[in-house]
Amino acid sequence: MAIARVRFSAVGIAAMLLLWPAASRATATAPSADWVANLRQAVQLDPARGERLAIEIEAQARLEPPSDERQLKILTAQYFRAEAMLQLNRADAAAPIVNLALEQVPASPAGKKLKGQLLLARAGILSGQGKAAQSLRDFQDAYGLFVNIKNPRNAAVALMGIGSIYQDAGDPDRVLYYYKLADEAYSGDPLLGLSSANNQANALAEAKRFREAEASYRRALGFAQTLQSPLLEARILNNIAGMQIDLNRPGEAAATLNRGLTIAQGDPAAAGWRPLLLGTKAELALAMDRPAEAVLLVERALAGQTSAALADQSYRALHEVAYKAYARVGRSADALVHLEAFRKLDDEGRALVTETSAALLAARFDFANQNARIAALKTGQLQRDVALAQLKARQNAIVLGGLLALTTIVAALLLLYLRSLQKSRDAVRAANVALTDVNTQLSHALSAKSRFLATTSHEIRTPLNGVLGMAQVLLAEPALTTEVRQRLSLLRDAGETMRRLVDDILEFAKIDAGSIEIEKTCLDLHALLDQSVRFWQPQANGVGLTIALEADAVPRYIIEDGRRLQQILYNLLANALKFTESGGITVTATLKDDQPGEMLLIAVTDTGVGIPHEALGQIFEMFNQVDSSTTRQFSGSGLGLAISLNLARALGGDLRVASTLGSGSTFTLHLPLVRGIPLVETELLQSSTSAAPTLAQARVLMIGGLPIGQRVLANVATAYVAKFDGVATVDAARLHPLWPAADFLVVDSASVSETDLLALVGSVADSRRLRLIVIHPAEKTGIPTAAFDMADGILARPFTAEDLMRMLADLLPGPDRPNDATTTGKSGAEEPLRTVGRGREHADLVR
Amino acid sequence: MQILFVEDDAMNRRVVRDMLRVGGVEMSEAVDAMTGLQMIDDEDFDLILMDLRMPGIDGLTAVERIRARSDAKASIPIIVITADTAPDLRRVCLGRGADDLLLKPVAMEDLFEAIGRLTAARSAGSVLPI
Repeated sequence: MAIARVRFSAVGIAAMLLLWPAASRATATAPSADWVANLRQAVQLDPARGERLAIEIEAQARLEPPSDERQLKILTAQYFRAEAMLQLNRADAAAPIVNLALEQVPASPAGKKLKGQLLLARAGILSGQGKAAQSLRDFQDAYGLFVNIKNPRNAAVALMGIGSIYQDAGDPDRVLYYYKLADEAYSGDPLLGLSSANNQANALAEAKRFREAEASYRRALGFAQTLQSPLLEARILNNIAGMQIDLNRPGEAAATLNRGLTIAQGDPAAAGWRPLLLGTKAELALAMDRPAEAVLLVERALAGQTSAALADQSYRALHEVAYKAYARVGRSADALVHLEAFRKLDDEGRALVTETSAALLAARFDFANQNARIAALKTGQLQRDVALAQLKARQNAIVLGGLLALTTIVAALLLLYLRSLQKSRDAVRAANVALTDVNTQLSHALSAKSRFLATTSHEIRTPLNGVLGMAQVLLAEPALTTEVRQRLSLLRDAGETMRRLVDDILEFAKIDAGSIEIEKTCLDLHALLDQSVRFWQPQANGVGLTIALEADAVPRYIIEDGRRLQQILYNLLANALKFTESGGITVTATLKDDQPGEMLLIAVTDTGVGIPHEALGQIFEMFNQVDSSTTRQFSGSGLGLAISLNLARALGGDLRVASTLGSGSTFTLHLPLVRGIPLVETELLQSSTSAAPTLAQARVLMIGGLPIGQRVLANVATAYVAKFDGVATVDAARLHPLWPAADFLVVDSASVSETDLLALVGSVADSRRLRLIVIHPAEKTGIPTAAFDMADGILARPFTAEDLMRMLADLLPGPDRPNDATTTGKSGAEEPLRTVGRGREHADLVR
Repeated sequence: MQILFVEDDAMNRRVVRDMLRVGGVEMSEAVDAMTGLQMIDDEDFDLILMDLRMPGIDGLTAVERIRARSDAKASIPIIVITADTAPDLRRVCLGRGADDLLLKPVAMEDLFEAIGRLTAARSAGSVLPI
């Protein structure tokens, strides 16, 4: 029988990052002045106390005046509190703390590291909750972040987390792959090395590669001894013994187990593993056909264990051995108890594998770039070593050369040198004074410019709120003549243009002052380019232009700031469209590696009017438009290129232009290329053509109702159904993506005309799956009889969100469900409304 | 649904009041933070809209005072509405206790969406303003 080895889970790995920051023994050390170290120690040795301490520290920090250090202190305290709660098995309560902290973490270097740690913590929580895809995403984001801030140790922890997810999914090849990547990324920490070696060994044993598994277990054991941790040694010895039993080497297994039990006897921390070691010994006894001995061992193992402890997954093997042993000696009642416990744990284990595999089922992988990622990490390290050696060699050469020069020519040159030194020093001093003056003036002017730009943008926003606000309110009026609506639309569009201009000015000021935030994460470059091109496709096609993308030559996954990249592409494409009459636009992505490091080139080429040669130098300046008569239909702020250039530089790259007057222009974005690891793409696994069997899979589209109430309902509904969206009119509904696939249509009879309502009824009658619910006004002024008769459900005002959800649930098709329903809503009318749905039996459900 | 808007500028109050009417909700107004805090004491609101720059106490201090209450009203959802464009503003506001930030000029749909999102949790079992 193959008994599952106990391994270090994703939660465990994240916790390890916390508990052993440097591979030191977990013995009591002298209390340190550093509050972080204090707090870490508290969480590690006594999580309950650690949690209280973290709350105290946070409260104290809140009393300090606001500053970045204070914020960081608060978030760090929250992080440790969440870790303490994880140690105490309160992952669900820890999750909101981690989520809120993540939203508030600053973009400073210290903040980035904390963000990475928070992501790892959340990934552990999500993995514990069975949300494999989300957990994977967090591990990947953490990985990209740590690579970016050059923290290979934590990047390795993130990779190990990914490996652990694949262990849950029962995919040993990928487990081994990711753990090996982690080993290569960082090898300086014995605790990480131990966890990696142990988990690799488990995966190898499962794949029946026993020789390699043995070697890996031995490496893990070596790490445990380096760490001087008897508990870890005992755990690994237990795993090794299990494998030896499977390999039918009982003598070796017995020796290994005795060694483990000796260690467990001699150390209080390791004593916790004794029951599991005894369980493995019982397994050995059974294998040697000595059931009575097995029973004795099992009883010793179970003695003094709480029922809560026995319900933990790590005891699954023990329950399995126990039931088999009891069964062999004929104690059926005892055997049954343990069989049930084993079944329950086994089912949980299987469910986890199935759920995790299903969550990862739609993933597509591109393994080509992964070795490149590791190579980059390695070459980064190598380059630094080489540069350091070269620097040292240069310094030595300089010293040597200097000595020689001095001894041969010092006397002759000294006099000449002194005289010329005097002259040049005076000149330099004069130049310095002038330069300092200019510098001061320049920096004043620059900061004044930034402040001016920011203040202007702020001052304009307030009256603009009045203009745009009222324009929106007026346009929401249902009874407008066509002409009035057109005039109001013009007013609103002009206001929107002003808003875009003000936003661009502000953006420019921020970049100018160096205060924009760059956040580089792992992203799908092909998808981003595709999205950017698709966005402009309707407009391009509308004026008879083609627009195309070529991106086969570049890697799919890179580490870059996606939002800024999208911003630059948006500006470049908007310009290309603005200045092109006929022909088309092409976006081409290529690589260049003739300089140190690879560069990514994204070129936007158009067949437009082109730029005159003399104007090329100024094209990136603010508000410089070559042809002032062009209409500013798209982003007409004149700042697009200036902002794009500054953004490109902020990302470490550049923006260049080449153009021929009359033929067209090419704007090329140069960016340093950092390759990333593949992302998991989860697609909606449900097809949109099958009917929804449960409420949780239902798709609901609502028409009408007061807007804010509709939004509240939409938000509450997301806890019950798969998709809930609301629109104002029937026309909007027909254009909505949910329209062909909806399971329910909820219509407010007060918001749609009688004709429209009847047309909707017609659409619903044609569909076999769609159910129609009509909302009845509070005053029973009546709705068209046909709608009344044909609706599947009628909901009277006032009602609660739960009332609607109950009605949806009742209307779901099923063998014993009534096919239509009524409800009176919360306030309760005098009598229930009846409905007769499409000629079926009607039933009244009074709420 | 009861919404309170704390804002010293009459034009801004009018714009938001009309927007909320389009949305189907009547709002209450306070011309400064002290009045607003008093109204919160006396009445029950489902959500607060808060301007930042006002004479007397500024908006974020008012937010902190609400959060420092010892009753259930301490956790009322609060949306900051401002034309202020400081770089880290969103983070600062969330850190002082606000739930969301809307930048002027306010997009009506964004306002409705934020209100719907923040009041959903406390609306269990209540009649919808629909």
